[in-house]
Amino acid sequence: MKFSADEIASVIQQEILQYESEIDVREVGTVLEVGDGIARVHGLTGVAAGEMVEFPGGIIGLAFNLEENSVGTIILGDYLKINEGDQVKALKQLLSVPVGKEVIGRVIDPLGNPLDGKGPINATKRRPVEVIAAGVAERQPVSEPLQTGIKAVDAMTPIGRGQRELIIGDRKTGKTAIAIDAIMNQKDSGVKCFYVAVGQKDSSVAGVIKILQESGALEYTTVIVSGASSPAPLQYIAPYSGTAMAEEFMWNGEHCLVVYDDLSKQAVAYRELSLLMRRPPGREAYPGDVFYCHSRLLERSVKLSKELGGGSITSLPIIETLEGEVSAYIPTNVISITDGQIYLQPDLFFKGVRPAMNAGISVSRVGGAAQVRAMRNVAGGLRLDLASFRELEAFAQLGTDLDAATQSKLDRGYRMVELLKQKQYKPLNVVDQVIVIYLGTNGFLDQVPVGDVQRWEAEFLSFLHDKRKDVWNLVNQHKADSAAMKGSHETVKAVRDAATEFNKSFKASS
Amino acid sequence: MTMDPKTELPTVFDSEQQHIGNVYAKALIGVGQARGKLESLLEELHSLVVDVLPKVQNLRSVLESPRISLPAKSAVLDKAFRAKASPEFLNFLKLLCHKHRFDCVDAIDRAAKKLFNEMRNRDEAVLITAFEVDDEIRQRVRQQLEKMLQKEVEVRSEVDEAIVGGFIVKVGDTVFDGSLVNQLQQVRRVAVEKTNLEIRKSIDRFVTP
Repeated sequence: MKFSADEIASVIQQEILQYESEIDVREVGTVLEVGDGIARVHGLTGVAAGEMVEFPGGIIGLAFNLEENSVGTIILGDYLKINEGDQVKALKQLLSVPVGKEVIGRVIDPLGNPLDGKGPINATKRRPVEVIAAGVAERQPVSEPLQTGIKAVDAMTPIGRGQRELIIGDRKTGKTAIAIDAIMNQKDSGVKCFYVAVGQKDSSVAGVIKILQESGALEYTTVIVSGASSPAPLQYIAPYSGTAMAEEFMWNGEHCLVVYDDLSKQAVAYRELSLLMRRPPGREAYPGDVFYCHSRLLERSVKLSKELGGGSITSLPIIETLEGEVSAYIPTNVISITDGQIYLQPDLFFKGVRPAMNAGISVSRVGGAAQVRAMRNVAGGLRLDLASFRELEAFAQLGTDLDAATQSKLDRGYRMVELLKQKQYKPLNVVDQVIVIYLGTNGFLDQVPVGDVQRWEAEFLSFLHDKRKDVWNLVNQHKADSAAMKGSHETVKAVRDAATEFNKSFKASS
Repeated sequence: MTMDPKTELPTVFDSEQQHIGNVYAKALIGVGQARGKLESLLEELHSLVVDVLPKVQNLRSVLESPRISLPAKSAVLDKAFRAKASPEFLNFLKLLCHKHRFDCVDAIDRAAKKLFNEMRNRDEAVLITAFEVDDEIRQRVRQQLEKMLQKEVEVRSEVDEAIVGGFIVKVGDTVFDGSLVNQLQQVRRVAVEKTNLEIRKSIDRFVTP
């Protein structure tokens, strides 16, 4: 393959012929000092806060601090190429990123430049990175479910489209795994996914991308990467640019899921910028507006009203705690902003309870309204039951003799804990979830030894899909009915019959 | 603000010094107004910064040095300026030495000029061309700028062969760039962009198998 120089020359010739010279009017300043991803600029008297500026070599910056004698700018690019005394040009526009279906399936940096070697992103549209979230008149309450495919989450802390559900926990407790499972489970739901990796090791991001690719989830997912080695300004804007890309779909009536992994690192990047800009440090040295930094981001997760197409952005922000300290500054901030949290605990994780969700303090404040009706009927009391089981279990460890009622409650609890365990990257359909949770809470597993519960579940589900697809279809058909899986509804009878039939053939391992 | 080429040192610009300069400049202008000789005071200051200090290197180091006592500095100032400078200006210089702010004298000059221009609704512009221009062109540029900015403009011209042709006018932070070099760069940028776009649209047109 050879490029023909003549064709290229003809295009250039045309451009020259059509070129109209105009006097280029620009506002300029001079770099006073530069370093650590920021530059102080003298001049630029008319620049607005948040306006883009251009350094020599096309490096873009943002006006961040407007001071009496200088302008503090954050540099979105290689600041080592900028020198003292360089001329800075105000661009009279706000920072924007390419949006549209062209970004789907790509791995990009927060400015929309490709990182996956699949060529340029030919998007025709751009959206500003920072926008004010939709107002009250443009919204409606959360009403549709967003299935994560994780039994514990969908049953106990259901997530609705347009909700912000925080995933919080220490390092290595499976926070990212929950988010990745949720992305994988959107395969046939038409939900576009955005995974924003902030301040993470590039090796772990590469791992996530590989899994998404292998499971086919990258086809509807955009990965926005600003790794641990990128300068703080890029880490700071990454969540906003990911949201801007999702907003394009939301305003076109589509649904999006955005994962911010993780916001504690973004807060650290913002703290770095603020301290370099000499903004006064507050608690834990974070600047005073770090709350606004997160609240204005998460406010952009919206369920739009019907008139505006009913699109939505659901977000799963992730916060990493240190030694389970949820009362630190950033965790309390984000807990208070979001509509609930999934709290992951290391001790549960090491006991083998995975996902290591603490049912007692994990909540979803709005998701219940959006939960599938059949699931709500089945799992209504599950969260409280499980929390009371944990208390009882601690009490039983004292070795006291227990009466039969307490003992059976404990046995049921052990089996429910087993049933809620789920392997990574194995999201489960909501109908499967409803049926097994119904059977677990209604004593169909009481005769199964605790160690066999997971095998029972796997074998029962394959039995259901292979031999009793009619039952599965019936539940699927009625899952939105308010009476489904409750009382003497026809679904209840069908499921009970199927389980009884299966239990006859199930052999416990000795 | 446009700085005099002789005092312009953009790479050592110190915004803190400029801040102090603003304060002293304001005070100096206040004195000038009270005594009714504002312009002559500012002229004296400017000629000190432009004509005297660069030529007499030692004077600056003596006046800035913290090791030389104030009476000694006063004596130097008296000897050097008593005959020519006005008493107010001499006092001002002594005050600068007293407050250890003589290093800010350039910043004070810049700030005073700027404040004075603002008071008179005046601005300074620099006209940069590739060749020397005559007064007539300068006057035309001045008239155009005055019409556009609605204020009196003082045009200074400079020659910079690097711009090849055309001209550049700088007023404050705004640059009106009609230089040939800038236009060539823009043509280049647009051409590269367009070619890129065309290649992306239909690669076949540009490729010979």
